[in-house]
Amino acid sequence: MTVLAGVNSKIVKNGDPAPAPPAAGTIRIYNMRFCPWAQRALIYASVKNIPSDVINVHLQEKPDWYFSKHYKGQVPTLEHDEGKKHVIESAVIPEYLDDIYPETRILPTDPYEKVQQKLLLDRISGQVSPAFYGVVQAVKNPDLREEKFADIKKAYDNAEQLLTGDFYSGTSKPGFVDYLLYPNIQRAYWAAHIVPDFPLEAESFPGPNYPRLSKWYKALESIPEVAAASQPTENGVGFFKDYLGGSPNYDYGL
Amino acid sequence: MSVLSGLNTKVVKNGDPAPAPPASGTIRIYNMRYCPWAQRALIFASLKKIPTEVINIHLDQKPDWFFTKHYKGQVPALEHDEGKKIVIESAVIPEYLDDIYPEPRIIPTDHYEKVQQKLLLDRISGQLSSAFYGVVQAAKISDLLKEKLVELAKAYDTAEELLTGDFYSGTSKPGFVDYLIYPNIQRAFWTSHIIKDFPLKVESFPGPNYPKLSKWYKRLDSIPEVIATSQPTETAVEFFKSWIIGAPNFDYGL
Repeated sequence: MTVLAGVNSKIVKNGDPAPAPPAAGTIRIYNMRFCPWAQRALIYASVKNIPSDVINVHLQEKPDWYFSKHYKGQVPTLEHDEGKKHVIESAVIPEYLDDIYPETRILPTDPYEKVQQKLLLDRISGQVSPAFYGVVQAVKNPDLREEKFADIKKAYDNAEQLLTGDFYSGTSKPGFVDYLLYPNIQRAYWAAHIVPDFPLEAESFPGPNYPRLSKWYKALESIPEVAAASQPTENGVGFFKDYLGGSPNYDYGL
Repeated sequence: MSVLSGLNTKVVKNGDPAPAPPASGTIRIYNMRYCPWAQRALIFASLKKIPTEVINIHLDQKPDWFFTKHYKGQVPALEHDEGKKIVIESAVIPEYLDDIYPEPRIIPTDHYEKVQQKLLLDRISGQLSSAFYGVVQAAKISDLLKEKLVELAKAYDTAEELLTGDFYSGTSKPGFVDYLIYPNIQRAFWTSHIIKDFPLKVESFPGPNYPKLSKWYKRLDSIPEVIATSQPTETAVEFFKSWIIGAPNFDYGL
């Protein structure tokens, strides 16, 4: 039983009325089902077992009221305390959730260990994400392909190298970096089904060049609380085909 | 008496030997005297009265050993616990210093207030610094300069609008956002002495279009612990001239 109510509800868009504030004891997450940044917040809420109300937002026809939740109209946004508090930014929300729901803490409490996890996330994600979006560009502009494929390969080489154990947490269980990095790597998995000659392989993703990452990905993918925050592969791949074609269907599969 | 020992020492560069680990009870900050990002760490150390040893790095001829302190060879890097612990990133180091030296604390302890300060910093700094560096680059390619100056004015319009009281801390004293945003605004002050048609005015900087920011800047500029981390205007303006033409003199004024 997932704590994420509404994760597969249809998007709200311009003209739709503003929702009532979230109930006491419930957090709300403004999401888009295929957004890797918003999924970070969903994973954290799921793993921490926080009762959550999910509202999906149309990212091209945003409701006007949504800009009072996030000044740029992006997702994710966390809304809680009966609508009185808003927090944005995909790497900030999880840390905040650990602060206000400390019993299920994921980040280390030791200040040095905590800061190293945050820096490690910045470092890996700072390479993996732009490399992925570079590939997305290359799909539309084939002249860029060679360069962007080399970039993503390099980013994953680095991610493999920085994975010195089973998880980036440095412990026997996944942690902050693992949970927050997973969505963007899942998007590359989806893309591996679509993009010809993609350097990361769909089979035992990301493939034999990345033995530790392959084990890591399989382990993360198998966690029920992570699966509860994810879209099934066929829907993810179907959405991404449309997205790459410039016509994203935010309600794909519903 | 400043706690920042070695602030105005000459840069170390490629070929110079690695320093001994910092002494027990002392933190070390790898710095460049005119770097606004490194100055954030210096300001926090100064205000919190942490005994600090400063080593300045030549940013074009970095020592090989410096890449063991920061994998990209950037400043600032914080080294402490007799060299066993290293933290990087200009917005992460101050938060870490507040964690390990909790008295006096600068960031609010309330989780929501703390996160809002971090988000406010990201928002303002993200605009100001990219607009500023846009102007600096355009100073060499004059076709772009007019456009970049418009962006700079817009960034300062937003900074003025978001300053709803005396300080961004929302209290009667400066806080996290104020201290961390100050260095980049100081750099714009220096640049206003150099670039023609600059939208920010030297006189009562940033000028009559920014009444709240002008008061704010004057106050920050007067704090002894902030001054202790700063370079004098005349020296800095000359450094900036050398930097803008692409031949920075990192030891200017020594």
